[in-house]
Amino acid sequence: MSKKDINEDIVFESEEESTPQDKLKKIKNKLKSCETERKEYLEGWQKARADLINLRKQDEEEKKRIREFAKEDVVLDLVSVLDSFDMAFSNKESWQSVSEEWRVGVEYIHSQLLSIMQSYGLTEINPVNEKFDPELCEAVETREGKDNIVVEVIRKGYRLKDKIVRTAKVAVGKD
Amino acid sequence: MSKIIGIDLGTTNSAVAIVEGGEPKIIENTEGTRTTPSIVAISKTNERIVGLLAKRQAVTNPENTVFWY
Repeated sequence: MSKKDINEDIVFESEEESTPQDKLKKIKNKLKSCETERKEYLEGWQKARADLINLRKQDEEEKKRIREFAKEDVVLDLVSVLDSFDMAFSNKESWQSVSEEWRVGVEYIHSQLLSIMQSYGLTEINPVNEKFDPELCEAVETREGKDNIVVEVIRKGYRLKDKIVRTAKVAVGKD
Repeated sequence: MSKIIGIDLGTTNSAVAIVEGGEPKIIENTEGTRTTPSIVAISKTNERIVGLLAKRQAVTNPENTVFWY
């Protein structure tokens, strides 16, 4: 900062009016305000730097999460196909009335699809006769039965590796 | 330096956000969703449950589940 700049910031009255003490006081005040400003800039820079570090960490974690679950959307879409198979199999009387060749063929296709999904880390959540757990299931109705025990799984849930991608819809027993 | 959390405590769903890089960012909950049902319950084992878990057990425990309807 040149002497000219200092003089532009600090306005002195005429030489006759300002004493050396006055000049010193003004310079001290200016220094104090510069220190305050510097402190603000430093804090602002430190905050921005911390934000950048946090953002980079989160970006890395987000990329890792995307890599791990890149197939999740496709797997979830295919779960609805598994649901269709379950619905077809659930009506035992109708299913048994289909010719054996067709039944075996369709059951094989179901096994094949399930096997492929399992190779991607998909597992079923089918907690029939287990204690109702809201982390895994959603209760849609209550029925007569053992209290707080799942009496029927209305729609299976699924887990993709460690993540629950769909909770099971269940009927829960009530005394 | 501590962060400030903003909470939208809605009648049906709630959301939580922070300001990051000058932009507001909604934080996901433990279930991975950006909104949480505004439901609270006391379970049969006397545990306090909130959000999605409270919603999932509402049918089995209506006397001890609170939400706006």
